[in-house]
Amino acid sequence: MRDAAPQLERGFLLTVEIAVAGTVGASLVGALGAALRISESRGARFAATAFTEFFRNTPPLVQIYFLFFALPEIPGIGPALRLPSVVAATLGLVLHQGAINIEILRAGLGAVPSGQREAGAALGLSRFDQLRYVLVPQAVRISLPALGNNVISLFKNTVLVSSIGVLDLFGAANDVIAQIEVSAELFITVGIVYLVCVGLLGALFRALEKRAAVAR
Amino acid sequence: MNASYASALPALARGLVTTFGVALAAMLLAVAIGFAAGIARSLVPRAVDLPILAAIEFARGIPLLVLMYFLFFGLPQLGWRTSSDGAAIAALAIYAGSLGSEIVRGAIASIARGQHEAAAALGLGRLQALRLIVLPQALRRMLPPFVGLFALIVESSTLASLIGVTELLQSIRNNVERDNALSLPLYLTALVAYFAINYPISLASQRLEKRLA
Repeated sequence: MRDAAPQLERGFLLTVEIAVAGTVGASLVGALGAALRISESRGARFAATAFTEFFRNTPPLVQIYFLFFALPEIPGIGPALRLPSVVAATLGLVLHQGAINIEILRAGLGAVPSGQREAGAALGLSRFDQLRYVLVPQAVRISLPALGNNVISLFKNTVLVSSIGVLDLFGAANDVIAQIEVSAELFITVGIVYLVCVGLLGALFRALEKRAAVAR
Repeated sequence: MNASYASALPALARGLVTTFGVALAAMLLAVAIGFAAGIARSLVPRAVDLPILAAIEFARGIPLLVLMYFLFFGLPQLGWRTSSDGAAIAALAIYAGSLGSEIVRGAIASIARGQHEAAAALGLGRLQALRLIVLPQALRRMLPPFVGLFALIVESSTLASLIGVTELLQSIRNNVERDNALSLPLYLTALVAYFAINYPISLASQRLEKRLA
């Protein structure tokens, strides 16, 4: 177990990196997708809805396999789409968790009373400024608990990257097990590391929610 | 479609049956765990509630794949042999059950206090009040999230492929291994198949939520 420590440490760092990159990517996807879903263009709304429903309702593991194994097999352009495993895996997480973010933010925007936007319009704010100063801050506040859960869910789903050979914490642990010996102890240790991280993320988001809360 | 793709289809059909078998078994267990833990949490005093809450937080916080590997590879090290099907179903049931208990507890808590109080005023005990007054109303509110939970179980059942259960995803992987030219059509099939299963389920969950709200 001691010999395995450096390997596990590298794995843990990679897990954190994937989680951070994935969270940033999924947030961008969520913001862009939600913007499209409330846009005036029918086509944009349809495309964003189709994206959301498709990637929300397909398993992230299948998405990762598709990106890693199937994309390079597309005739013609395939070879250019041969992604390194860590990129394919992170991209899969971004698509799935991003689609869920779109849905969360769309619901959050829908939950802001329409009088708020109208008041913004009455103050002479442009459509963009109504979004920027009136709708988005309130929608994000409403969505914060769900967004936090989604970050935690992405963090837990990082273990899926090990399925295509990425040596994240879980991948590294399995490598150690393959090389040295199967040990229940190692699974328990790794499980505790994930639990602690999830607990910390949960506490972080509860603190954020508290700070963002407005006395009514 | 070429002959090679067509020849993979029977295996995929068997995989699909296994996917549904695993998902349904896990769902039944998750509903049982969800009701047991959710009702217990609604009834017991805080001190007794803490260990249940800890167990739920544990089951929700640990990545499902880690739990599944522990049950399949770890438990035999501790002297308890498990089958891949059994470990997959158990891990899914524990994870989904922890979410189910929150659904049940939340639905019970969402029934207006006045209902509990009116039941008490009628001379009903706490269990009677729960069974006759609160649960019938709470059940309606639990239905949409439990339907959604089934979609999550189907989605998560793909992880069973990683411990050697030949469900839909694994049967696809096996066929790709046999003939790599099938990689693109078969993985596309996987995406489409899971979408075809889960999209109607999540639509149904959303519709029910609107109707019962």
